[in-house]
Order: sequence, then C-alpha cells, then structure tokens
Amino acid sequence: MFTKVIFGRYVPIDSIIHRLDPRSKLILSLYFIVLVFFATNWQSYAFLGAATLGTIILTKVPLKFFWEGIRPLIFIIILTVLLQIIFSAGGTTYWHWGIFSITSGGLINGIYVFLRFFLIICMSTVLTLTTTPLLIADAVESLMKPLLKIKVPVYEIALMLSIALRFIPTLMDETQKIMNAQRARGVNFSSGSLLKRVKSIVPILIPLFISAFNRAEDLATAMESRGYRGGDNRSKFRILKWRHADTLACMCMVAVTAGLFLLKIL
Amino acid sequence: MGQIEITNVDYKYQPDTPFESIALQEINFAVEQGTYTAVIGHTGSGKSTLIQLIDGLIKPTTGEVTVVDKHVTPDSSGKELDQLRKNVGIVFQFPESQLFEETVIKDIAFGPKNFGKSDTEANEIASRAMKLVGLSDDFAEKSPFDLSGGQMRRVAIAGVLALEPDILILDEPTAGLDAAGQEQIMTLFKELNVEHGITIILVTHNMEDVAKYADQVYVLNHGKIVKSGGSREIFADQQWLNDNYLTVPVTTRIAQKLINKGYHFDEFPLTVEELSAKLLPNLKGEK
Repeated sequence: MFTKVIFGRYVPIDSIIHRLDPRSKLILSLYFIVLVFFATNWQSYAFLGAATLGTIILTKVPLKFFWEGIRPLIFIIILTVLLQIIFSAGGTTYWHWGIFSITSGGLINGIYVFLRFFLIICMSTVLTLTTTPLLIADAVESLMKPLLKIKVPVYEIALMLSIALRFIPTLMDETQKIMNAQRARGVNFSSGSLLKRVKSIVPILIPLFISAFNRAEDLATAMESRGYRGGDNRSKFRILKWRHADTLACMCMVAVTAGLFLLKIL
Repeated sequence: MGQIEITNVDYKYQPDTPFESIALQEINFAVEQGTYTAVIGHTGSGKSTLIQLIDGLIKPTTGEVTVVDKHVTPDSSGKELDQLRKNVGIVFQFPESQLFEETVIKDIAFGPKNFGKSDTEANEIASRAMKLVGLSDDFAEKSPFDLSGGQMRRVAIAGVLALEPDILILDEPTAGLDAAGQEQIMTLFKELNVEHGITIILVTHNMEDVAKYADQVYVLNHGKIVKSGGSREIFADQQWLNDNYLTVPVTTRIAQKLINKGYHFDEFPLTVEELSAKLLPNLKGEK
C-alpha cells in the first residue's frame, strides 16, 4: 500500500537542476512559494507558469512524475476551489441561493487559488524529485548554522533529521511486514465498524514501536562504538559546494521576480 | 488436483506506474496434500512474493491461485482473498516482531480468536500450541517482551500453529537461531508434517535443511521457476546449481568428489545418514 506513494520521491537523472546545490534549490523553492502569492493578474500567472514549466523541462524528469505528485492532492485543490467559488462575492452575480452565490469575482478567485496550488506543488515536486533526502537534510543543516549563535542544537537536529529520513523506508517495510503477519493471523484491516478498525491498528502499532525502540538502542550502541561523541568538531564527508550554476539560478530567480513586479505595474 | 495450484501467474509490483517491477513471471506451482516442499533461490528471486500469493496477501496480476477449494484471480475481491487465509499459516522471517499482547498466552490465542473461536477454546488451543513448541506453562502469563530471542520465536511460531492450518508456510524459520534451536524447530515442523499430515512449504537458504526434510524442490531465479523436482534430482546436478548461484549440501559435495574419483552410488546420497549408510558396508568389505 505504501509503495504506491510516488509524491516526493527522488528520481535519479543527470540534469542541470539535479546538479544544483541543495541549498540553492531549497531556498529558491521556498522563495518561489512566497513569490506565487504576489501574482495578482493573468499576465503574472502566465509568466510564473512559464518559469515553472521551464524549470520542469530543465529537470528532464518525465511529466508523468509531476502528474503523480499532484494527483493525491487533487481532491483538496478542488474542494478549496469550490469553496472559494461558492462563497466569494464581488463582480457580477450569475447565480445565488441563500448564502451561496457564484459571481465573476468568485470564479476568478477560484481559478487563482487553483493556479497557486498548482505552481507551488510543481515547484516543490521539482525540489523533491531532483534532490535526495540526505542532501535536503545537509542543506537544512547548513542553512541553520547561524542559529548556533542563539544556542539552537543545529547538529543534533540535523542528525535526527538525517536518521529519520534514512529510516522512513525501513519503517515502512517493517509496517508492511507486520501488517502481513497480522493479516495472516486473521486481522482484517479493511472491514468492520470504525471501532473495530481502530482496534485492529493495535497489533501493528505495538510491534512497530517496540522494534523502533530496539532499533534506536542498537543504532546508538553502534554509533558510540564507532566513536560518535556529539555534533561539535566533526568533519563532513559530503561537502556542499556552491557553483556558478547556483549563482546563475539565483540570478534567474531575481529576473523572474523583476518580471513579475513589472507585469503587476503594467 | 493438488492442494495448492498456481497456474500461469504473473505478479507486478506497482503496475502502471514509473516504478513498475516484475516480481513473478509465468509461475506454475503445485503442491500435493501432506508433502514437504522447499522453495530456494537467491535473494530477490521472488520467493517471498510467491508465498504471499498462496496466503492471499496479494492478488496475482494475471493467472489463478487455487488453495484447497478456493480460487483467486486478478478480479477477486478482498473477501475472496481472506478466504484463502483460513487454511494457511505463515511463519514470516523473524516472526518475533509480530508479538504485541501483554502475555504469551493472549498473543498465541489472538489468531484463533480472530477466526471466530471463543475465549476458552482459544486458550485451550493456545496452551496446546505452547506445548507443541516446547514452552512450559510457566511462560503463559509472562510478557512476550521479557523473553529471550529464541523463546520469542517459539511464541510467534506457536501463534501461527494455533491457527491449526492445513498448510504451513515457513519463511526462513531458523534464521538467527543457535544450532540447537534450529534443529529443534526444524524437527518440530517435520513431525507436524509426518504425524499430522500438514503440508509444509519451506523457503530457505539452508541447503542442508532442504536435503534433509523436503520431498520436492522449486528453484526460483529472477521471478521464474527455473527448475523443479525431487530433492535428489535437484542436488545431483551440482554444476547447474553453482551456475545459478546456489550451493549444495556438504554431504552431496563429498559424494560428488567421491564420484569424480571413480566411486559409484546406486542412489545419490543427500544426508549424512544416507552417505554413511552407503559408504560403511563398502569400507568394511574392503578391509
């Protein structure tokens, strides 16, 4: 069941975007999300759409993967868009019944909300499809470095993050295994009343927690025996390198920002 | 008509996605009632997928799976899949990770209760199953998490035996146990097979176990059944097994070396007992 989740999986292909520094990718995609909210007219959405499409093409990842990323969220998008259409007022009213009404303003708002969702999901999918989880963890660590000054345990957070990311697939496999074992013993996860279904989670949850505890203990012992003493004064194996391409990517983003505000003024 | 019959089955993981992968291809697999079948093949050859098919944990992508009188095809509903499980018990790899109840006896009785037994019935079955795996009554009220690894394994196996299955599937049941524990558990399974007529399917990398216990062997490679037959037949062709990244039991290796030196066996020996029984009379004769 879990193996069906494609959203946010890394796809190993060699492309310009894949080779970018994870830090620049992380910052730029966060920045883009903020930027999307500044778009207020057709021209600016078309412009941002073109920029997104350009990025997607540069990743060389087949479009199918992006569609797979959006598909699980389509229900939420449609729901929000519908609420937006039905409840917003403004402009010409086409139809109304009690508090519900469809107006031209509402329709435009609905479409804008849809476009915002679409662009944000596409850009964040670009980040996850082209960057391995470990590199994202590295980027987070590197970007959080300034917080060391205010006593935030950055190294510990980064370590926990990378361990957590490393064990997600392992724990998913484990869950699947335990589920199969309990199904073989007659547990039915897909039928019965709500209470019964909730109860049937206990035989998965307890073994899963216990195995997580055991795993944590083993891992801690193994780390200590290999000389782990905490985060300070450690050297790094994977060193992030800021290249010209990253500077170029940032400059592109500056250009996109400039273009967007230009279109807003016009 | 066998007890388990798998005809022309393919199985794909994540079909119609970019991550599609073929786990099984054109599988034809049949097991008669009361037999002991071994499934061997190197890691990733599809053994675990095959046993999940037999227990109705997954549906074939094409083809048909028949267990006793129940059929499963790609169009079968979840309910029909559940039906398969009534006859089959699986001991998964490292089954101790499936324990969750407060006491050993509750955990063992969990399976029978799920299949509709009353509390008292389930407890009776559970204490019988405990005896079967060699756990004394003192263990009944203990927490399964206070036990040693070997004892936990036994509790887990008892939990499967308590389902009173006609077919027992074992996925490397002895992995990680000490030599005595391995021997004990494998003997228990053989006894269940011989005395109670339970059909056993053993998935293992331990060729000694295959030679010693199995009547029939299926060899899997890259999701296909590349060879099947009696264990004597399979192990007689050492070169072929080596070519397919499989080993042979030490006994057969010795026998093969003797054959190469000119020794003649009427029947290829599989176990230590067979080999010594064949060699001893000759040695005495030559003295």
